[in-house]
Amino acid sequence: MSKEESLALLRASRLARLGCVADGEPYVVPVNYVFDDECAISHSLPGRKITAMRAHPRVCLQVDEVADQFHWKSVLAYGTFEELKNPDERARALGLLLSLFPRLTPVESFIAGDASAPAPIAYRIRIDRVTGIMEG
Amino acid sequence: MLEVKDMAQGEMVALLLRGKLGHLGCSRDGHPYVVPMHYAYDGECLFFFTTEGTKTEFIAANHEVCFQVEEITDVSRWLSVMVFGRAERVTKPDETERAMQFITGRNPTLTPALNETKIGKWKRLNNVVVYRVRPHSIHGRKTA
Repeated sequence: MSKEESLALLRASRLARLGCVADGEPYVVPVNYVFDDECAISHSLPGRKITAMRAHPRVCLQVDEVADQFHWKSVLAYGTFEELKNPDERARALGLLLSLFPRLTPVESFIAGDASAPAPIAYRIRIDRVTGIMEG
Repeated sequence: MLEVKDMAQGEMVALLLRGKLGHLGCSRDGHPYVVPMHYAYDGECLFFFTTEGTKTEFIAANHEVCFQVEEITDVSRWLSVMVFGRAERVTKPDETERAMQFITGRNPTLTPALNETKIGKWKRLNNVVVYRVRPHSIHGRKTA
């Protein structure tokens, strides 16, 4: 796939598998995201993937569109994890995610100001390389 | 409010048994690599095959893999299981044959329709490599 086709899928999709390296081993988890200004924006509660990405910010996002075994696209975007700590950037990112995924828990609890819930972490993956393959 | 819970062992095994397509994660020199992959799980080991290329290079450099399988209905209804283990090449002819039959049995359109004696030849011609992952840990989460 051309870079433009790959980027188009990355921009249109809302679900990716985040690949990161945790203690030298691969770690793959599905994440919802939104693509904004060459970055994938997402959020998470504190946990293993956040710990892994803080320790090792080189990550990848894999996005696919599978119709059947002979008609599919798969895009792999490589980039660097950046935690959004600046309050304005964080609020903007969480707002963007909330507008697309109104039912996502961490954003909901953040907005609701639930004092007992841990604060969600907003982050972006700054994409620097994209590859894509397809069949059919 | 939406809740996310850990899955019980039986639920994770059931999901792996009924699934056919997952995502294989590898890492080499600190770089992750993720690709969609068909597989078959026999309740103990997970099998998949691929052709010689980037995936086999990553696995040769680091045998530890993460195989992730999910069932997503929508943002607030999903299950996701991750299998961690060592990917080992299946090399003995009878084991390879059995693993190929098993994987293609679960995913019938992955290979041309071949009889048993021809699968070996097709596999060699296409540089097919079969892997077995014996999980050392399995984790799963789901929405409540």
